[in-house]
Amino acid sequence: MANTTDHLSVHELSKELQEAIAGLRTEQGLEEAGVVTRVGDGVAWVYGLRSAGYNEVIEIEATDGGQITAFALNLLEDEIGAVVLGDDSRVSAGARVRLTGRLLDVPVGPEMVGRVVDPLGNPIDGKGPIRTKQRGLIERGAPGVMERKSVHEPLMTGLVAIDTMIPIGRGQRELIIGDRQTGKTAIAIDTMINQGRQKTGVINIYVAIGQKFSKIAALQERLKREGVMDQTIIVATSPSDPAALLYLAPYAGAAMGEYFRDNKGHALIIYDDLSKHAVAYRQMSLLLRRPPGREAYPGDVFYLHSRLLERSAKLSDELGAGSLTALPIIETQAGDISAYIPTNVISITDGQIFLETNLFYQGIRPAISVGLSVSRVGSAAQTKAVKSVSGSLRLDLAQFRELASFAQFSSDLDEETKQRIDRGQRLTELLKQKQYQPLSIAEQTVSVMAATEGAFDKVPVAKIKDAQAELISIIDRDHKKIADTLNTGDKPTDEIKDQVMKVAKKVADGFAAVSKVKA
Amino acid sequence: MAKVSRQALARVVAERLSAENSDDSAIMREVAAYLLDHNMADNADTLINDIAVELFKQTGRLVVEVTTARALTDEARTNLIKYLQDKTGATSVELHETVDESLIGGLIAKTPSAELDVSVRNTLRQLTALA
Repeated sequence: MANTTDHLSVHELSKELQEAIAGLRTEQGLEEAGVVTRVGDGVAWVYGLRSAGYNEVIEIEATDGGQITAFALNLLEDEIGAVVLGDDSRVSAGARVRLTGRLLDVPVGPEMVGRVVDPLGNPIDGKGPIRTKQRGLIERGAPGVMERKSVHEPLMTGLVAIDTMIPIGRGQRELIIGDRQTGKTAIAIDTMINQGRQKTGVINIYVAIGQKFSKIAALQERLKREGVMDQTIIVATSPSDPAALLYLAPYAGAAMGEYFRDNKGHALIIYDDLSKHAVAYRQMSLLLRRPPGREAYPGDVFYLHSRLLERSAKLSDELGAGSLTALPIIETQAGDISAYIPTNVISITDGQIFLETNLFYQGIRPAISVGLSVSRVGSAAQTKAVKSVSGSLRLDLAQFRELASFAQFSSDLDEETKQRIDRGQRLTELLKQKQYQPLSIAEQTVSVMAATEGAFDKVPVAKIKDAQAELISIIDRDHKKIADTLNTGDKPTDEIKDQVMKVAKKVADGFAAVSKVKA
Repeated sequence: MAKVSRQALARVVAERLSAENSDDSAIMREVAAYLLDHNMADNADTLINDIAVELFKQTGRLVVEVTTARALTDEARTNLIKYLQDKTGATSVELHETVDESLIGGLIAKTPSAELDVSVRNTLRQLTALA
């Protein structure tokens, strides 16, 4: 008896071959044809094809008889500059070129979820081909004004510092910006993990632009371990990939996210990182002989990112109320957020989360600079539960920052100043969070409530995290009803507040007593 | 002097060539001198092609290079000319025929801006590339 697997393989192969044969141009007519005049560095210059459109896909006859895809980016009077998608060593001068009449597109749909693909939608995770029912255009216009609704639903990252003071909503674009090794990707990963932990139904799309494949493999492994990979799509490009693929990667990811946005779903897309994206586009533009501007970037480098990020939106109820939330990442040099590309993207996005190196090395992780970070959507995107307890948090921290330099003179300060410094130190400690441990709405609410209402004022600063962990543990174990109520996002009632504060004070007394004994 | 694009040059040359009583040899000598003067001698082939495109636009005269596996019969030639006229709107078609047995069967017809490749060799090449 034939092995079932073998039988299916032959059948699948046969079906593929039949489809490929049918795809051949059986009805061949007089077609516009061009010829490659020169090729190099991933760019093919083509003579002819006078009716080629901007960004149109063209097919070049390769030296081995196959076809290589390219897309027309420079439409000059005498020739076309086309960026080759693939190995340009297979293209030689004199090769025939044909128009396809179509724009670049990628497979989109739920079949992409759980897979690692390249910017053309080809799987690179070894799990076999992906068959989708639809394809989405890589370059596509953003929704218009009337097609949108204002951002009003929260997208919880699970990070207390962000959800309380820099809340992100579905459909928002929130930039994560900082120097290298400050925890930018870590914030993005925790946000993705939180979507799985809280079962939000949000599909994650992680676009790795010029990232080491070892890093992407480690990320995939982590997401698998956290049980989130089955609601994540990874679009991966490495530094060794052609600049054209790095350029296309974010747009391909956006096309995949738009499928969910346009079909009443919600998606979160992370562009890691757009600095490398701008560099890849600069390389392509210089090779296409486009005039260089500031820092050798082409003149349309702003448009490169603005048209990408505008596709992240919250749609109106008439269009299904879906959303695509974007967390673009930008890497700065020496903390300079006033450089060219960072200022461009800051002006496009709806806020930024600024990570500072000195905070990171002080042990404050996530190393978020509360003073420089902002969410322009604000509390409209915050759950009522978290909103009710985070009102004074930003103010307390701001006051602490002003007074922090006086902490060394504690014996000479008045009581009110001492109290503010003590409170600020405890809040700063509370906002520290380990990686891969996002907190739920309830856990965040009770933690911040305890700290801002003064329950933890007697707990030594070094024990704040332990006190927080114990408080959360007791609430989850003995007061499940409170946790469930808070997790719905509703504002806590006075009764719930009293109960939480009671537990918090008891926990705090325990830690205060221990520290007295030790003293 | 500002460099003229190849297409603009082709347009001008085509206009002069299609004028009545034009001295084609003299015109082409001028073009050659221009190309040499502007270091564009390498572009001669593509310029000729551009001129052919412009001549077609201006006069409706289409020049086609046809390569077949076997010599065209009169009927095949007539059918091909009719097909090309229908597809391109040309008022007259001038065929330059070549026989190349490596095509195996069918033909390749090249106009200045388009191509018709219905050779057996091409179909076999596409099938091979699928493998």
